[in-house]
Amino acid sequence: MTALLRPVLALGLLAALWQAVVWAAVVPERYFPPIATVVQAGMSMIARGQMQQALFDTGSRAILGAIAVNLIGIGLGLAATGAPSLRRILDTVAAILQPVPPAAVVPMAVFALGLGWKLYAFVVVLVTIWPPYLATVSALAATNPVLLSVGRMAGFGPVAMLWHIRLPAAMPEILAGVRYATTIALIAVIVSEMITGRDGIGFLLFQKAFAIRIPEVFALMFAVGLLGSAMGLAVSAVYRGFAGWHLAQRGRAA
Amino acid sequence: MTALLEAGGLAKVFPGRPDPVEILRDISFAVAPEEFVSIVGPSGCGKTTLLMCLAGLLPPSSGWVRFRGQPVTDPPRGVSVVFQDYSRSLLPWKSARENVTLGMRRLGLGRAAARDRAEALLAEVGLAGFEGHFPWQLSGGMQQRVAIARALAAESALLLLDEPLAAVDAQTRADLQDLLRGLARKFRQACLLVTHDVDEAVYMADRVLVLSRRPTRILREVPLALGAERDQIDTRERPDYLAARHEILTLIRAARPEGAGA
Ligand SMILES: Nc1ncnc2c1ncn2[C@@H]1O[C@H](COP(=O)(O)OP(=O)(O)O)[C@@H](O)[C@H]1O
Ligand SMILES: [Mg+2]
Repeated sequence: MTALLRPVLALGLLAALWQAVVWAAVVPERYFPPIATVVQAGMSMIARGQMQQALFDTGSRAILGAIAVNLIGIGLGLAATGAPSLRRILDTVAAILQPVPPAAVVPMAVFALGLGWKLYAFVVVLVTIWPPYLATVSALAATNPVLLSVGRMAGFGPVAMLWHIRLPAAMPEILAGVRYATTIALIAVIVSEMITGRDGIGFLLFQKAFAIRIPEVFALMFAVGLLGSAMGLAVSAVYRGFAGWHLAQRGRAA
Repeated sequence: MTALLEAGGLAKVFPGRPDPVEILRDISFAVAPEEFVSIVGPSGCGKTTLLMCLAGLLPPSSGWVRFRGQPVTDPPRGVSVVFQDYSRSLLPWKSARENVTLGMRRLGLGRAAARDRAEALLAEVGLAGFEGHFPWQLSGGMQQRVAIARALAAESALLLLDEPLAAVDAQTRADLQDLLRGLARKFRQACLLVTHDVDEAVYMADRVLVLSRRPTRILREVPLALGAERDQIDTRERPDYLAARHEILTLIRAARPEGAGA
C-alpha cells in the first residue's frame, strides 16, 4: 500500500511545486509551461508514435548496454581477481579511461564506427564498465578473514570459496557498482544521441530545444526520468535477489 | 594412550614495524581423545593465534602440530573451530540451518540428511523454531549457539573453542557452559577451550594450561579431577576446585607486570 502511495505522493508534490512556479511567474511561461500543456505535448507525441519510437531506441540501447556492460565488468573483475597480472593492466587502463566523459568519446567514435549500434556499444562499454569492474575487484579482495577461515574449515578450495563465500559477501558492493553503471549507461546513450543527431530521446531533446518547442522538451524530460526510474527499479529488484540480506541487516542495525 | 593433538616447540613471530613481534615462544602440549583442556591467558597473549596455528589456518614460524599423528598444514578433517568473533563467523546471507549445514560439508551427507541433522543440532542448542532465521535476526547469544551447532555438526574429534562465551550474559553463559560440556561428552569430542575467565577454565576442564604474558609460554599445567558430572553450584564449592582456582589466580597475579591494575 505505502509502496504504491509514495510515488503517487511524490508525483503530486512535484506537480504542485511545478504549478506554484508557473503561477509565481518566476520564469516566463513560454519557457516554463503549465503541467497541462506539457501533458498535452506528450500526448500528441505519443499519438504520432514519436515518443514510443524514441523511448524504444534509447531504452533498448541503455538497457541492453547496461546489462551487457555490467556482466562484462563483473566478469573482468572475476578474471582479474584470479590473475594479478591482468589486474595490474586493467587497473591502469581503468585509471586512464575512467575519468573520460562520454561526450569526449563520441566525436571520434562517430568517424570510426558510424551512427549505428557499434557506436553506442563502444561508448557505453568505454565509460560504464569501470564501476562494476572496480567494485568486483575491490569487494572480492576485502572478504572478512573470519569468513575465509570458516570456508577453509569447511574444506573449500579456491573455486568453492569464491562461489560460496567471497562472491556472496561481495554482492552488496558489486551491486552498488552496478547501480552506478546503470545510471551512467543511460547518460552515455542520451549524450551520444545528442551528438550523433539521428534518433532517440537525446536527439529529439536537442531537436525540440532548438525549435523552441518547450512543452515537448519537458515531456521528453519526463519520459527519460521514467525510463531512468524503471532501470533503477530493475537494479533494486536484482539487489533484493542477490543482496537482500544486506538491506535487511542494515535495516536492523539502524 | 596416543594423543589426538600434539604441538611441539610452537612459535609465532609476526613481521611487525619497526621490529618483528614475537607472540608465541616454545609451546608444547598434547590433548588426548575426549579430553577437555582449558587454556587461560591474559588478553593479547596470543590465544587466538595459538588456536589458528593448531587448526591449520595459520602457519607457525617454527615448531610443529600433529593431529592423529599427521602433520597439520591445512585445516584437517576432524577439527572444528568456534571463532572468537562469532557474529562475523556466520554467513549473513544464509539461515541458521544453512550455516549449520556448512559445517557438515566434509561429511558428504545428502541434502535432506544434512538438513535433518542441522535441525536436530539447532534443537540441541535450544534454537528449535529458529532454523529459518538469519544471523542478524538473532541475539548475540543465539548467534553463538548457531556457531556452536555448526562446529558440532562436523562430528569432529576435536573442537577448538575461542572464548566462545565471552560476550553473553551470566545466566546464558552458565547454561552454555553446561550445554557445551554435555554435548562434547555426548559426541565423545575432545575440546580445547580458550578463555580469560579462570573460573570457567576450571569448571569446564580436565586440565588447565596457564599461559604467560608475551612472548607466550605455558607457565603451568594444572590437572583437575572434578569428575565427569559438573554442577554450577556444587562443583564450584569443591575444595579441589577452589584450590585449582587459587593456584591459577596466584600464578597469573605473579606474572602481571609491576604496577598493573586489577
Ligand atoms: N596477523 C597479525 N600480524 C601482526 N600481529 C598480529 C597478527 N595477528 C595477531 N597479532 C597480534 O598478536 C597479539 C596476540 O593476538 P591474539 O592471538 O588475538 O591474542 P588473544 O587471543 O590472546 O587476545 C596481539 O597483540 C595482536 O595484535
Ligand atoms: Mg583472542
